[in-house]
Amino acid sequence: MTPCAFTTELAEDPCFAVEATAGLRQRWPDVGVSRGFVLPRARLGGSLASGPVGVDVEVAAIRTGGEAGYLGVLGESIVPRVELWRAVGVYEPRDGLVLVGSAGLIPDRFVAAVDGGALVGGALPYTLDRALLDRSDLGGGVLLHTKSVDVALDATSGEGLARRERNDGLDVTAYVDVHPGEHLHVQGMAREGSRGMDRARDHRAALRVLVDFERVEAGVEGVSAWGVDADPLRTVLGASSYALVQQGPVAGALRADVTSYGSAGLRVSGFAAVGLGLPLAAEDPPARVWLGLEHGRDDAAAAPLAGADALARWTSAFLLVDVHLVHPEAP
Amino acid sequence: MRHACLPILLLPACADPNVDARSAWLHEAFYVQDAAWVSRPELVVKYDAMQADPYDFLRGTSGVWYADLARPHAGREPTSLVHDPREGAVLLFGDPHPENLSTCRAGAVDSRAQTVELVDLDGATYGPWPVDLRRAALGLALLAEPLACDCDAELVAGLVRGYQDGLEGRPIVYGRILDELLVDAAEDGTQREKLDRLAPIGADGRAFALSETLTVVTTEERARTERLLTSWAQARDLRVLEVARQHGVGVASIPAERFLVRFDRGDDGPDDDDLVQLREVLDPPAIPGLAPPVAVRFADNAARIRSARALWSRSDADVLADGIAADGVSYKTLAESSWFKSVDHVKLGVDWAEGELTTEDLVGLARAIGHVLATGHTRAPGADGAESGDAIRASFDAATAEDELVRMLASDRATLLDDAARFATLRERFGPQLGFDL
Repeated sequence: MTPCAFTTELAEDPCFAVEATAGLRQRWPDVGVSRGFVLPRARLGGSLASGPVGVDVEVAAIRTGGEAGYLGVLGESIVPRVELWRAVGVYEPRDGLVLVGSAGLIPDRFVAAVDGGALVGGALPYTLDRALLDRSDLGGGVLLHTKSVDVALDATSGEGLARRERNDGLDVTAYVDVHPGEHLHVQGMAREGSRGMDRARDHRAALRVLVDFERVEAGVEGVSAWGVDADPLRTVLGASSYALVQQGPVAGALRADVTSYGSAGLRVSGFAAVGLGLPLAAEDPPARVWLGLEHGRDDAAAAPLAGADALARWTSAFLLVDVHLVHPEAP
Repeated sequence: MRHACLPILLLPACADPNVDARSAWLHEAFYVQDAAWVSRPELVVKYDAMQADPYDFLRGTSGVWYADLARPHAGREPTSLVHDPREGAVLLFGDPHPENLSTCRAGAVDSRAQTVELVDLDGATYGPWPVDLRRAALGLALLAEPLACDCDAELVAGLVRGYQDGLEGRPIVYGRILDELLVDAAEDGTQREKLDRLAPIGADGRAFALSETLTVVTTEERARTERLLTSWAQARDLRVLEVARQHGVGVASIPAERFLVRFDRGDDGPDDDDLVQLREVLDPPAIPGLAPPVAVRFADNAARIRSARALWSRSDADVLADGIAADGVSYKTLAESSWFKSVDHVKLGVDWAEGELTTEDLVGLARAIGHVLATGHTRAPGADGAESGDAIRASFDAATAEDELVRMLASDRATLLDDAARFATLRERFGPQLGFDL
């Protein structure tokens, strides 16, 4: 992962990054909302460092009407949102041991670990996609980095930047990334948190295993949520697995997700995609064109409208261009 | 307020183990619904109105209601009325409660033709058609709640009967409540009662009667409304004469920016003057239907409002109605005239108390609403651009719809009244603006 914006690390040199995924989607059953220009991701970020201290900023485009809102992109309803805004300080007391302190709108480390570049066809990380974790939160944290283990502890408000008038709670998140070898990461997080002014519980625990070889990246993760959207009684269990294979300019991506809403049932979804890197000769292409198929289905009780089984299955084909530009390029 | 701060992970985190789950969720849902307005003092006025009257609580909570409908949990009432995916992307009114039903002067601005429409399209977007019926049934039940008529089943039967009539293309039967409203509207409209009240003729001609609820616009507001109204007025060959800021109108949209505009058609005298309301429009609640993400169908809320006019039985139901945008904010225009009279639940309560209203009259109103819904659902193009009528007709079964709506209504009404009590408690605990003060 490039040490610039969209990562949990501080870039050593000033840099900026642009990430965007846009394209066309055709959905079945075709009910008219199937064909359309989609902009699942558009982010602009930058890092500025001077010696051991620096700042990161990241701005993303969002649809104000939400993903179910039929509004956005061409009108005023797509707006910029600050996703990250933090000051970072690095202290290296001895070789192999690094302490990184950060404060501001800091990233969720479990999300950020798989939120950069075109890991899986430009798709959102599973925990973001199912709204089980947020990309960032307001607060501060400390990361202890060694050769084989990263450990972090973050204290945040749980309400992010947009809801700053309610930021009198405290979420405490522990994160660990064990990387015993070059190719293996075992990442875990646990959060004791609350949501809303009534401070309903909003706890999370998650575990991920990632393997990262030259041509293959793959991961499997599970997450458990106690309390969702300020409803302390709701519990959600989810799991996702994904893989990305690259050979020259050609890449292939697979992902399968399953989310359990307790007695309401399951949502199952997944996609397969092939990508072609541009330019064709690039080792790590800054752009990819993805062609893929996605399928999802809900149990009737877990469908957006309970009981409406006819609305609970969908398939879509997508053609996406995924651009990831970093300046200057990392060595 | 005391919170149990648990020593977890060496730091004290502060989830409250004794929190009332429904209240906590409700509080958050209110924030999500009203986030755009938390810095406006009028939000307290809206909340005051909602706390004072369960019907107004219903009016102020459509976003909360839809959010609750969408939450995947086992306790949700399942529908058995949707069998075709196209039924999930029907253009809906979104908030078809009885007070959104209004008489309209159809046709040209000097026309005497009348129609009845659900004029408020703020919540209009795509979704499954039974949701509009469910929300309408809840609105009717809340209207009837203080009357103690014990007539839920009759109201639902009337609503479903009217819907079936509309699907089958039978003419609408307005019933006594709407018939009387149409007569009043024609009488007051002819006499220009609202125009003369809001902008009376004085020594210097006609001008707004400024008051606490109708105030002078700022320089910035004047410039902005000029930008908004220029092309709107040109397209209709109208002259904008005067603009004033309007406050405290409606319930759900009380915090919305609202202007009253006086215009004419070119004569220098006051006889061709008229009024139009210009009001800010926000994103509608997301109606649970198709699994997201769904593709964009409206460039902005102004485009949405313009498209949603296709729901009206007459496209010329209000020739002044439009959606317009400037500076990234959408507004809608609606005629402000005595020809446009809405159902008033308070007045109906008085009529009931005086013995001038019967259950049969309420059922007639329900039947008319059902008909208006069916006409809109089948007339307006669905998200695929084609009529939704065939898909709805193929799935619609009156007996099933009636059973399902009666069952859902019992649950919806109990939840809403319970939520209204929780809302009052939340305001006691967190303050009149629920603690959302910036």
